[in-house]
Amino acid sequence: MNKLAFACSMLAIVVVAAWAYNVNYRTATALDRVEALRTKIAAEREHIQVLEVEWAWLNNPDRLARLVAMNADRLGLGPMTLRHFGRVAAVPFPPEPEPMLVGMGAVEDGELAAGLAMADGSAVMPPPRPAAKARP
Amino acid sequence: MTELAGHGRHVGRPADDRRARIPQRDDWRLFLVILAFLLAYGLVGVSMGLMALGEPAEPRLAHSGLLKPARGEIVDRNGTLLAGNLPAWSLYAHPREIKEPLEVAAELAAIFPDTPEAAFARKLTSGAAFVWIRRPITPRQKQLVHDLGRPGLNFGSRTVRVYPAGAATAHVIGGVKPAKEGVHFTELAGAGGAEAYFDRRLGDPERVHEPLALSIDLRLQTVMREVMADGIERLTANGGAGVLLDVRTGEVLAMASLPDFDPNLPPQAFDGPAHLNPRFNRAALGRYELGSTFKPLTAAAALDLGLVRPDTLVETGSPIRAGGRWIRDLHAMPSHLTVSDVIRRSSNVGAARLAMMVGTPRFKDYLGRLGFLEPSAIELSEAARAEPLLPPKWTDLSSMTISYGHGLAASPLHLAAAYGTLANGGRRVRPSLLRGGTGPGERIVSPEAAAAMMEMLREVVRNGTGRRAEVPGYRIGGKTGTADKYRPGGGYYDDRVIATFASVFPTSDPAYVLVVTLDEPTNREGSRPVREASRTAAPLVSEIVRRIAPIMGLRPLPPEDEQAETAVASARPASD
Repeated sequence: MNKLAFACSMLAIVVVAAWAYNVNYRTATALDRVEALRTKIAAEREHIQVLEVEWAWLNNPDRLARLVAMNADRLGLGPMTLRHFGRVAAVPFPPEPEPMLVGMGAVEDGELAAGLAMADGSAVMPPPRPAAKARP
Repeated sequence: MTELAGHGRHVGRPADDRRARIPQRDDWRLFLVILAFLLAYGLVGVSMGLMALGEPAEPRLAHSGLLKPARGEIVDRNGTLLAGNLPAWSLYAHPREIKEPLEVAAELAAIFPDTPEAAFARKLTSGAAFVWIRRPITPRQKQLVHDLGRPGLNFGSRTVRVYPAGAATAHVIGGVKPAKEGVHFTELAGAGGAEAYFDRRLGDPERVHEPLALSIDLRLQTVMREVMADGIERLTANGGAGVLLDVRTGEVLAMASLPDFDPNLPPQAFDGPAHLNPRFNRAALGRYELGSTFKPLTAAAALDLGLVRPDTLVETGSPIRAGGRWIRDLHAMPSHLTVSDVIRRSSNVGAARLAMMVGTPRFKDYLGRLGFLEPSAIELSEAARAEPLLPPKWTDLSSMTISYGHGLAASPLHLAAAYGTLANGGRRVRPSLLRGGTGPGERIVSPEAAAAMMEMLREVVRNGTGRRAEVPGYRIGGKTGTADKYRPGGGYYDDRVIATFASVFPTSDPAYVLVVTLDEPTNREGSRPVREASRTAAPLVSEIVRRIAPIMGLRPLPPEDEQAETAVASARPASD
C-alpha cells in the first residue's frame, strides 16, 4: 500500500510538473507572438500614417486648384455661383416613354411566352427560355 | 545457544518489529518530501487556474519601451489632415571609426550640397565619439549615404512633423521644435499655435491615436486666405487678418493672417519690424484701434439699457468739446440723426453722445462683459499674452473716443466675438478652436436689442457704407471701420489706416460672423487713392461670402420683401 501510494504520488509530481512547465512554455511562446504582432501593428500604423499624409498632400486645396487649372479645357469646371442653386421640386419628372412595342404596357406570362411582337406581327425576339441545366 | 545467536543476526519478534519499524520511521520523511513537492506544484497549478478564470489583461512586455513615442495628428472639422507624422532618418557619425575623414566629407558634401564640405570635414576630424551629421534626411539621401559603404556613418530613426495644408493653416497650427533628441527618437514640442497649446494632449501616449479635431474648415480657410492674399496684393497693404466664426457655437471656422509662412520649412530669420513678421498672428494677437466698427457695440449698450430705440433722435449737428479736444465727424451731418442712421452714416458725434447716455462706468462694464478688457480665451498659446490696450485712466473722454473705436486697441478676434454676441441674440460668444465649440454663454444684451442691431447692420449694407459688401441672397449686415494708424511718436498718420469690415450673415437668422481687417490698404483703381474700408475691406467680404456660401451649403434667400418665415427655414445649411 505504501509502495503504491509512493508510486502514485511520484507519478502525480511528474504529471503536475510536466503540466506546469508545458503551460509555462506555451505562455512564453504566446508572449513572443504578442511581441511580434505588436511590432507588426506598429509598422502597419506607420504605413497608414504615411498613406494618410500622402493623401492629404495630394488633396491639398491649392494643388487641386492647380490641377483644375491645368486641365481646364477637359474638365470645363467653373466657380459655383448663386445661380447654381435650385429646388428639387422644380426639377421635372421625365416624360412617360411612348410604348413602341405591342404588349409593353402590362406584360403578363401568356404574352411573354408568346414573344414580343412588332405592331405588324413580325417577331422581335423569341420567347425567353430557361438556361440549359448544368451537367453534373 | 541463545547467547551465540545473540551475537549474530537478530531473529525472532524483536528483529521483525525493528525491520517493520524502520520503514515506518523513514517512511514519513519521504512522505513529507512528496507532500511538499505536491503542495508546491499544486499551489502553482491553483494560481494558474485562478489567473485563467480572472480578467485577461495585456501582458506588460519588458521591451515595449522601444516603441517610438508618436505625436497625435491634428485634423480639421471634416477630418482632413492638417498635421501628421512621417518616419524619417537622421545621420550621425562616430568620427573615431572613420578611416578617411576628408574623403568621406567630400562624398557627404556631394550628397548634401547645401552644406559646405569644410563643415563636414570639421565634424569628422574632431575626434569626438559622436557627432550629428544631418537631421532629418530623406529616404533617398539615406540610400545614397548607405551606398557609400563607409563605416562610422550610422542612421537613427526619427519622426518628422508634416503639414499637408502648408501655409493655409500656418498661424492656427503653429509648428514644432525638437525638445529632446536621442539617437533613435526625437521628442517634439509645440512652438506656437495649437501645437503649443495642446502639446501635452498631443504627446499623451494614451491619446496618440485619437486625432485632435479643430473647428477650422480647410476649404473655407483656403478660400479666405486666397481672397485676402489677392486683395492685399492688389491694395498694396502690409498685411491683413480674417476671422470667420459660427455664432451659435463660437467655433472659429477660418482664421487667416497675412503675411504668413510655410510651417514645413524651418523657421526663417526675420529682421524687419515686429509687426511685419510673417510669424505674427494678426487675427489673434494684433491689437488695433478698430474704428467705427465699435459704434454698433455702443448703440447696442444704449438700446439694451432702454435709453434709446432705433428711431430715437440723437444730436449730431455740432462737434463735442471734451477734455481739451474736439470730437467731430469727417463729413457734415444733419443736426439730428436716428440711432439707426448714426450707424448707417457712421457718425462719431452720435456715437459719443450714445456713450455719454450710457455713462462711463456702465460702458466700461459692458465692454468688459463683451470680452474687451481681457485676452481672448481661444486655444492658442500666444493668445493669453494679447491683452487689449486700454487707456491708463478711463475718463469720460476715453468713453467717447472708444465709442467710435479709438483709445482701445483689441484684436480682430475680440471684435468677431463681440459681433457674435450681438448676432447670437445677446448671449456671450467665446471663440474656440476645437470642433464643437463652447456654446453660448451668459446674457450680455437683451434679444430685442440684439435683433434691432441686426437690422441696423443690414441697413448699413443695404443703404450705407457697406454697399460693396452685399451679396444678393445672403442678407449680409455689417459695419465699416477706417481707423487712422497710431504714429509711434504720438498722434496719427493721415495716410495710413487700419480698414475693417465686421459682418454678420444672414441677418434674418444670424449664423456667421466674418471680420476682415487690412493694414494700410490703398485702393488706386479710381482717380485718387482711397483708403476707406468701404472700398478696401468691404469688397473682400463680398468676395469671401460669395465663394464660401456654396461650400457651406447655404442656399441664397429670397429678397427681403418676400415671406420671411419660409426664408428662415431654408437658410439652414444643407449639411454640417
